[in-house]
Amino acid sequence: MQNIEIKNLTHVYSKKTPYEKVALKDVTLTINEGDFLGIIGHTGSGKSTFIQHLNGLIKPQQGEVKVFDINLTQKKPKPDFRKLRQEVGMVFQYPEYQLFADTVEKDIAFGPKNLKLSKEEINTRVRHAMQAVGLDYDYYKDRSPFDLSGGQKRRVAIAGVLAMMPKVLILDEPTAGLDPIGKKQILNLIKSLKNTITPTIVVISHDINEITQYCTRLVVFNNAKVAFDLPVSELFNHSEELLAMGLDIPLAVKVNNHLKANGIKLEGDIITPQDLISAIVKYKNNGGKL
Amino acid sequence: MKAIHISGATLEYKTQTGGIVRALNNVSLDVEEGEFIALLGHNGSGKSTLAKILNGLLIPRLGEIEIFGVNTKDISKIFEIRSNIGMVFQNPDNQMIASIVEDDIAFGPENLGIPREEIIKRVDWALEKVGMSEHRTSTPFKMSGGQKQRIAIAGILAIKPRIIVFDESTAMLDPQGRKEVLEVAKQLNKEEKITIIWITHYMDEAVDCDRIAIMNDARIVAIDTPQNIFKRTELIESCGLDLPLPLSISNSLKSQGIDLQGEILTENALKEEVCKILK
Repeated sequence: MQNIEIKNLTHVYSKKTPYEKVALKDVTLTINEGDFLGIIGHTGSGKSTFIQHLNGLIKPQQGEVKVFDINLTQKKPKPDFRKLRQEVGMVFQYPEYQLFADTVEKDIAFGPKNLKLSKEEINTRVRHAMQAVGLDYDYYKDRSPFDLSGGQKRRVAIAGVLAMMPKVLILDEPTAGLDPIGKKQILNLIKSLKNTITPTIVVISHDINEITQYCTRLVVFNNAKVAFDLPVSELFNHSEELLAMGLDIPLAVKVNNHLKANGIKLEGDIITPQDLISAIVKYKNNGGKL
Repeated sequence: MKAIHISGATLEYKTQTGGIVRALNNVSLDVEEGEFIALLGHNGSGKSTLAKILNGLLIPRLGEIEIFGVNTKDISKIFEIRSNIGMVFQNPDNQMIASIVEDDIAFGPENLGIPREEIIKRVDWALEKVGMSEHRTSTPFKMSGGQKQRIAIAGILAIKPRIIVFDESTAMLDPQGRKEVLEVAKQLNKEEKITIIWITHYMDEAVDCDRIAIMNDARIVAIDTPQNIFKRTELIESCGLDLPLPLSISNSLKSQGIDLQGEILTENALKEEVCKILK
C-alpha cells in the first residue's frame, strides 16, 4: 500500500533573489507501507527540504505531494494539516532541544493534550510512548527532562512524537552527537519501533555503516535530485558513483571491493560487518573455493 | 617543554535540584608540545569540563593547571593563557560573529590590538592553512558545515595559539566535513607543531593520534598509544566506548580462527591483512 506519493516535486529557496537555490528538482518517489527507508546525501543535497514536505512544513511549489488521502497540492479546500501532522511523526535533528516542560510526563503529554483527548487517553498514550522508548513510567514521569543524559533526553523527545500515534515516523539524523552507548540505544529503539509501533520508518543519516544495519531501501539525494532509489543489497554496485558524489560507502563494501580487485571473490551480498565476517570465514574454511 | 600540566584537578558542579556532581576527580595529565592527544569518554564523563579548565573558563576547586608554565589561577595572566590556547566547539554557527569570512577571522587579532598589516598577514596565512583562501570575501552563513568549521579554525589560528582544543568539532558534520576538519587539525599539528587535544565520540578519528586518554566518571582511567588502548577491549566497553569498526571486525575474525596479524585499527590495514590471509 502506498503511504506517501511524491511526483515531480521541485522547490526553490529565495526565488528571484541573488541567493536563489534549487533545493529539489523534479523529485518523484513513493513510500510504501512497511518501508524501512534510508535517505542519504551530503549536506545541502535536498534531504531535509524533502522530508519537510512530508508533513506540510514546506508547501509544494511545483509538483504533487500526497500523504495517505491528504493531497497537499490542492488549494481548496485547504489540506487537513492537523491530521497530516498527526499521521506523519517527525523527529528533527537534536530533538532534545525541543523539550520544554518541567517533567517528562508533561512534555510527552503536550501533543496529545492539544488533540483535546480525554485525561485517561492522554495517560495511556504517555505510558505507551514511554514504554516504547524504554523509559520506566513511574521512575521517570516526574523527573525533569533536563536532568537526563543526552540519550535519555532524545528518547523523551521521540516519545513525545510517538504519543501522537503517527502512522509514519521520520527521523532526521537520530544518532547525531550521541556517545557510542546513546547511539546503540537509539538504533535498537528504532529497530524495535519498526516491529511494534510504526510500520513505516524513514531515516536520514550520514553514517552509512549505521543506516545499512537496519534500512532495507536507500534513496540517495545528489544536487537536489534523487540519484538512486534501490534496495540496500543493490545500491553498492554503484560504489564508484557514490564515492564521486562525496558519499561514504560501508566499510564491509570497501573491503570486499578491495578483495575483488585482488581476485578474491566472496559469496553473497556483503554490506554489513556481519556479512563480511561470515563470508570471509566461509571462504577460508572452503580453502578459497566457492 | 610541557604544553599542558594538570595535577590533581578536582571540580564539582551544583545541579538544578541542589545536588552536587563531581565533574573532575583528581585528574592529572601532562602533554608535551606538539603532541596530538585524543580524549574519549561517554557523555558526562568530564571531557568538556577538562577542556574548560585548560584556558581558565573554569578554575578547579583543587589542583593546578599550567599552560606553558603559566598557572590558570593567575588572573593577571589569563589573556596570555587564552592567546596560547584556542578552542573549537561543536557548532560552528555559535562561533561566527561577522558576515564576511575575513572580518570573522580578523576579529580575534583585532581584539589583541595587533597592527593592521600584521592582521592582514595573519588572515591570509590562516585561510591558506585551512584551505579556504578563495572564500575570503564570501559569507560563512551559506557554507557547508565543514567549511564553516574550517573558518572557525582559521579564526582561532589568527590568534596564533600553540594549543588548540577541538571539543567534538566534527559531531555535527557529514562524513566529508569530518574528514576536512580532521585533516586540517592533523596538518596544523604536523606543520605548525600546534599541540592538539581532540575530543570525540568517533573512535576512528582517534586511531592515528599520538596518545589516547580515556575519561570515565570524572577521572582519566587510561592514557596510552592507540595500539595499546584499543587492545584493552574490556576497559573500552566498561567505559561505554566502542572499538574502531576495522578492529572489531578483525577481532571477530580472529575469534573465528582467521589468523590476522597485528592490531588492525584502520580501513587500509584491514583491507591488506584480509587480502594477505585469503590469497
